[in-house]
Amino acid sequence: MAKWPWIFLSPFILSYLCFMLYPTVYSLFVSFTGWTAANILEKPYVGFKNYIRIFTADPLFWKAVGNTAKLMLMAMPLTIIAGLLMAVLMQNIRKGKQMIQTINFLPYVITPIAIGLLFAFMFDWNVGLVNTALVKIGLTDKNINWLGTPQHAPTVVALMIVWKNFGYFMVLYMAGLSTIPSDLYEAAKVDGANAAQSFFKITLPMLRPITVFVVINGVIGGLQLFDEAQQVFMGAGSNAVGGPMRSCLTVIWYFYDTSFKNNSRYGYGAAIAFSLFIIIAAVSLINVRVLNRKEDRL
Amino acid sequence: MKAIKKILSFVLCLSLCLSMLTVAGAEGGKKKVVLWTWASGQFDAVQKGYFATHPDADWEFEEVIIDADDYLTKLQQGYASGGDMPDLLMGEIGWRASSFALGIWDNLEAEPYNFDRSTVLDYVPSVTSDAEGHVVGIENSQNPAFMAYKRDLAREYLGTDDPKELEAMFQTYDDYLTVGAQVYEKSNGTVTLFPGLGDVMTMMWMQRRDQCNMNADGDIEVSGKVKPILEYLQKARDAHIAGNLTIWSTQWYANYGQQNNILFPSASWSVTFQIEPNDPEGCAAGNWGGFSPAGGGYGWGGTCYGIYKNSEVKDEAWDFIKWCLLSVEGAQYMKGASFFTTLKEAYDDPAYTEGTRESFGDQQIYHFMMEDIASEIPSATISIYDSLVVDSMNMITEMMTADESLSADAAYDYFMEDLQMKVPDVTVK
Repeated sequence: MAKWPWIFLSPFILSYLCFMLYPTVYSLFVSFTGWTAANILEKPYVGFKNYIRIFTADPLFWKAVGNTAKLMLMAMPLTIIAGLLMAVLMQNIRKGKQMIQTINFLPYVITPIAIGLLFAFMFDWNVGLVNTALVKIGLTDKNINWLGTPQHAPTVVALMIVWKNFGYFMVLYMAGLSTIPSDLYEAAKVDGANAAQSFFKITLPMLRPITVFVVINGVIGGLQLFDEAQQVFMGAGSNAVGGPMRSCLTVIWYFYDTSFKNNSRYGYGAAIAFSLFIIIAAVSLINVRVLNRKEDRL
Repeated sequence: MKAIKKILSFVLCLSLCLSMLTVAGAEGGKKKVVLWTWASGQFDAVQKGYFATHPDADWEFEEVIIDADDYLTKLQQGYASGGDMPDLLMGEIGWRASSFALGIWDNLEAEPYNFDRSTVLDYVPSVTSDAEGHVVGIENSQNPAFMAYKRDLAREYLGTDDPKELEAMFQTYDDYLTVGAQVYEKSNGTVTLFPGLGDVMTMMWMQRRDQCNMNADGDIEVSGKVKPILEYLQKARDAHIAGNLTIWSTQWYANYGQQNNILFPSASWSVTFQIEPNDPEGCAAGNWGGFSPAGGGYGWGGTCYGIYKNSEVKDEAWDFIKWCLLSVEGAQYMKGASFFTTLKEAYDDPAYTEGTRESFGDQQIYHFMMEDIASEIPSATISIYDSLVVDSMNMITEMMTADESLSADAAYDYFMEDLQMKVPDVTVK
C-alpha cells in the first residue's frame, strides 16, 4: 500500500484522533460516572443513572430544552425571512451593494461578548436606547424592564440571534440566487407574471436546497445556543444563571453551569451533553425526513 | 537572489536558536512563586515591601490573572488534568468551601508551616478551615461592612450628616421603611435610600452569615433566613426605599457618583473598589460617611490565601503569606489598600486603627471599621452549597425588583422550587 498518502494525511488523522475522537469518547465514558469536583480524583461508574435522572427527574433540563426550543422558534423564522428578503433586495441594488452586504454580514463575525454588551445597553431598563425611543414616540409611558422579566427577556435574546445571523443566511441565499437561470424569470415575464408571482413560483422553490441547509444548520446552532444568551445578562450585570426565572436558560448554559460553575458535576454534565446530542440527532433526522419528503412531492 | 534567500534562512534560524536559548535561560533562572489572582496588583506594594525587607529572598513573584467567576473552574480543570497549578491559591468566601473540598489546599497547621490559629481573630479559623477542620487558608482581611452614606444628600433629606445621629435614626429595619418612604415622597421619586433591592438583600444575607446553608445531615436548610429577607424585600419595594439597579451592574457602579441614593451598604473594600473610583468629586470633598447599620456591623466578602499541596516552592510561598498577612509589618502595607489584617497582635498598637481618608473627611474611618464595626461581626460559616443558594437568591431578588406584584410568599415558593431543581438529590428546607 502506498505510504505517502498516509504520511500526508497523518497530521490531520493524528489531530482528529487526539483533539476530536478521544475527547468525545472520553466524555462518553465520563457521562457514565459520578465524577464531581468534590471527589475529583475518583470517577465511580454509575451506569445509566445520570441519563435516567436527566430524562425522568431533572425538571431544569427539560426547562432548558423548552427554553431553547422557544428561543429557536422565535428567532429562526425571522432570521430566515430576513436573510432571504435581504438577499433578494441585494440582487436589485446596483450602488453600494458590497458595502451593504458587508454591513449586514458584520454582526455574524462580531464576538458574542460585544453583542451581549451592546444589547444589554440598548435594552437597559433605565437608560437603554430602546426604552428612550419607545417613550419618546409615545408607545409606552413607563420604561420596560426588558432583561429583568421572564416575559420580555426571551424576546431580546431572540432579536439578538436574528440580528447576528441574518447576514450569514443572506450570504447563503445570495449564493443560491446566483444559480437560478435568468431565462426562467424572462419566461415568466413573457407569460405575464408579476414580481410577487416570480418570487413565490420561481425563486422560493429554486432556493429549497438552501432553505433545507439553513433550517438544519439553524436548528443545530439553535440547540447549541449559549454565549449570546449568557452575555446579554452578564452585560446587564445580572448574576442569575439563565436570566430572570431561568427563562433564557438554554441546554448548553445548563450543561456549562452543571459541569463547571455552580455544581461542578462532570459526570452529570457530560450526560447532559450527550443527551443534547441525542436530541439534536433526532431533530435533524426528523428535519431531513420532512424536508426531503416535501422535496420528493414537488 | 539565492544569496538573499540563504542570508534570510540563516537569520531566521539564528533568531529561532536565540529565542530558544532565552527561554532555556529563563527556565534555569530564579524560582517563581505563582499566584492565580483576580485582583491584579493587589500585592504590588506588599511585594515591594517584602523584597525590601527580605534581601535574601531569591525568588520571583508571578501573577496569573483569572476572572473570579472562573477561578474555581480553572482550579478544578487544572488539577483534574494534571496541568499547571499555582503555588499560591485564593479562595473567595462565596465558593471557598467547594475549593477546599478539592483537597488541593495544604494543611497550614502541619509541618512545615505550623500555623497557630490562636494568633488570628477568633471568628476567622471557622471560615478558613476545610471539612476536616484543618486551617488551609489565611484570611487577607477582616472585611467589616457598614452603612456608607453621602453627606450632602443626608443633610438635605435626613436633616443631618452626623454618623451618630444617623445611627440613632436607623435603629431597626422598619426605620429604613419609614424614613425611606419620606425621602421618596420629598424628592418626588428621584431619590431613594438604597440603589436597589440587591443591596438590601446582600446586607441582610451577610448579617445572617452565621447561619450555615447546610445542616448537620448534609441537607440545605435556608428557610429560616430566606423567608424574613423576602418578606422585608416586599415591604422595601412597596415603600420605594430602593431604586431598581442590579447590584454589580455597570450602572450600579456609576451610581456611586450620582445623586440618586443616600445609603450604600459597603464593606471595607468597597471604599477602594467602588466609592473612590466612581465618585472622585465627592471623595475629594470628603462627602462620604459611615455608620453602623440596623442589625449591626457585619462581614462581607473575604478572600483567603493558601498553598497548593504539590507546590515545589512551599517555603517561599509560606514566607510571603506569613509576612504580608500574619506580621505587623505586612499589615501596615495591606492597610493602605483598606485590607485589615486578622492578626490579633496588630491591634495591640492603637496607632494601627488610626487614620482618615480624604473620601470620608475627618471621620476616623479606620477606627470605625476596625474597632466599632469589626467587634460586631458575627462568626461566618461556609458550605459547598453557598454559590447555588446565592444564585437562587440573586435571581429572586431581581424578580422582586422587576415584578411589583410578586409577593414574598410567591417569591419564597419560586426560590425553594428553583433551588430544589438544581439539587434534586438533596433535601432543601
